[in-house]
Amino acid sequence: MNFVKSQEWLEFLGDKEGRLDRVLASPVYKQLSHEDFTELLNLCDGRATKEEEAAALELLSDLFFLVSPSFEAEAPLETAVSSAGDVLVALLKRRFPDDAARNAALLLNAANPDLLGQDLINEAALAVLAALDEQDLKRVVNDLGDLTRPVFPKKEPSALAGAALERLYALVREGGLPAKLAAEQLWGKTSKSGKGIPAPQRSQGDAAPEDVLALWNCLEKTEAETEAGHAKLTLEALQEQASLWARHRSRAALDFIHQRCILRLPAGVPMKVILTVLGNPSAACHNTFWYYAESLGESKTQVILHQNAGGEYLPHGVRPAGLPQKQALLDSEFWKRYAGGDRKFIRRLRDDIAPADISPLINFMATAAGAQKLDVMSVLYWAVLKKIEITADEKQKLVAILEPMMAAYPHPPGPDAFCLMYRLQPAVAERFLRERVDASQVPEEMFATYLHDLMKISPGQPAEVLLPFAQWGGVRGQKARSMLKARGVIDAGELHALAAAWRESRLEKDLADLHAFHIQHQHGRPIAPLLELLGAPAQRGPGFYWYEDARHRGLLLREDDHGNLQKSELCVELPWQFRTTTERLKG
Amino acid sequence: MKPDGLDVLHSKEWQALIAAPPSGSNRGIARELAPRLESSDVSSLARHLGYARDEELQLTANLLHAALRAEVPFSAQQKQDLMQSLRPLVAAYAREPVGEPLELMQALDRAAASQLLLEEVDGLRIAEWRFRGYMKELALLPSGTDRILQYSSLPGSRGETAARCLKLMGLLEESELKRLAENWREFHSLQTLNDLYEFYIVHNLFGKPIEHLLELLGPPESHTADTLSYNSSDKGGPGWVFFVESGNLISSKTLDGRD
Repeated sequence: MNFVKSQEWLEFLGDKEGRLDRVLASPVYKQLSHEDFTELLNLCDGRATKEEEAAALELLSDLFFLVSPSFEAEAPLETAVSSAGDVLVALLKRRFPDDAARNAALLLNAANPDLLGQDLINEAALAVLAALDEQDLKRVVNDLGDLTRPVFPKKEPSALAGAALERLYALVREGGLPAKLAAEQLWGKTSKSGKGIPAPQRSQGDAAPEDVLALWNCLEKTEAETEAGHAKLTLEALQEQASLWARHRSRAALDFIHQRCILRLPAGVPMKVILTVLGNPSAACHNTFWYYAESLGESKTQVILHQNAGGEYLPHGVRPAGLPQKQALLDSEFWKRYAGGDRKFIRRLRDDIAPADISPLINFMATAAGAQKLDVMSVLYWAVLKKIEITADEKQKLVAILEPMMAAYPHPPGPDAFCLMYRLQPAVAERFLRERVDASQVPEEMFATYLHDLMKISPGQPAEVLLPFAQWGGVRGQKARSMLKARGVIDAGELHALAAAWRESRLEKDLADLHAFHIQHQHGRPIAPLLELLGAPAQRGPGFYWYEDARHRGLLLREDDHGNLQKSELCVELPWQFRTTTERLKG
Repeated sequence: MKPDGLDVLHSKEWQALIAAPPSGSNRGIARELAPRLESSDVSSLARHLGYARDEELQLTANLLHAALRAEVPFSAQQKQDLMQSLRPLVAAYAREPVGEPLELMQALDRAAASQLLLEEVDGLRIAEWRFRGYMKELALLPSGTDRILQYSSLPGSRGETAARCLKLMGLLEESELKRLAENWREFHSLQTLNDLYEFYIVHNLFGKPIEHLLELLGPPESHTADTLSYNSSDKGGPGWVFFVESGNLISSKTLDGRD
């Protein structure tokens, strides 16, 4: 059968209003073969009339989309359309956006979307938008909407769905009528074509597309394909997460909107644009808004937004102007009072020091003398402890000033310069102490300081550092032995002699030494041996023992449920909570 | 120095000073007396430091300190003699309170005073109840603060006390600040709020835009245009009220939990 020369085709061609009824009623159309389809498609190569082209494509489209799936020739039709891909693409370009082009695009999209091509649909849609009247514009947008949905009779969206979706979002961003129509396709209405499945419905709790769009339009766009390790943010994704947040107040959605969108908003965005999308905040006060995810406690997931007095969003890290520009530390009243001898102002200086103060302080230190040098060094030391940013140049300059000061070690200002150097350049300080300081030359009155500094730079137990010096004679050896004992290293004979002296005389000094040298290092260990050492307590009660010296000061031992020493403490008197009622009344 | 021409230790003012109750009143008398001291009085008082005891020792040191502040001339020799007299007094820090002599020594030579405390006093041999005060004295110089850092790494309560002392000076790790803030926002415990106040707020947020505080503590329990009130776990429990002016945190006071 040569269909394009048959009576049926001529009647179809002449019956503009009743074509669909004909196709549905007559079995002839359902018996068309691959050859018939090919002939119909050949009418579209530009040599036939426009009317013939349109009729052929309308018939093929009706067969493919409306008669199927009972249509046995569906597969041959799909093959024929694929084979005629070039013809249809040419027609599409030539006639877009009329009905023939639309049918060609739909057929191609269903049969062989690769031939249609993402670029074509994008270009075709946008290039002509400006010139379209409202009706044509609606048609174009509807077509794009159709392309985003599964193509009947297929169950999956076509490969072009993503591109069409992107195009719809692009139209939304254009604003005006195209945006309104595209938003309807995306979120607002069912497909009017009757083909395919309905467009996604917006549920009661969803974020309003126009609100999300308004927020989206405030973003500073980037051309980069990825943003901080994420795929590029799309309006679609933002809409989806905003709706998830609106429905479930979920942590993931809140995190997404905050990290990917809000943190990228520039200053000056009206806060109401953000608040409209996020809904009512969990709390609000003093131009600050809190949002908590419901799945977790408020401490875990919260977004805090700030606005200025004019209701404009303040980006992360930007705060409304506070006090006037911070005064330089060296010009401040606090510095004058501190340098004038009022030492308590060191607290304010520690709190107020800022990166901008570092250079002036170093410069001042380079020229200052005596006590002033020490004052500046103390403040700079705190800057280092507080990890305030010090540039490499500043550090280099400071080290150069400290080196000659450190050389005075162990005499002032050597020890302080050493400590600052240790925080700045530990290796330099360590090398200095090990190689440049001869322990045998350190004066007796500075020897404990030296030992402390040596412990500071030495790995391992402090006792390992002290032991060799404990063998020394004279004051130096005595200081080392005393420090060893304070760290719990005491000869058993000396300990028992000390305990015996305590039990005999009950002197405060002996009790304090027993505590310092032995008892305070026994926490978590059995209390019984300590009770034996100390003798009878002055008082005992549930979980405690009280040993009192002649001046009624004493030592409180606390025992845990396992008979171990829980806590030991020298006190000026037995703490109130351990006294009997009578004693409390006396007190 | 005085109208009757007597040495300070034999004057009526001195008698009034040592007879006054040991409180702020004798300090007031010392402040008034100090500017009238002469160089010979300084020498007498310096010698007196060697044998005075207890309250009288404290008063002598206090009067000398007041004289120093009043810019009564101290000769180099007098300063040296004073330092000699003060050394054994300050070195006894581990055994006895040495408040006034230490302050005087710090005023004369801060580095030497700190060095003496570092050299002669082992923090591990001081009773716990005096350990915190010792930490405060040490914190004036780098070498002293370094010593606190050494103590803070010790196990047990002494290490905890030293670590807390550093935090009270405003040295708080970012991770701990975050932990405390999360803990406060979740449980609203008074202890956590107080820690946040003492370790961070008081050092960093006064004079700054109120948003910093709000970000740290979360929404207040109640607020007005000028105040933010944070109560501890029980509704209306004790806490802090912060005062706001021109959008900045300007002051605070404790809330006792009552209306």
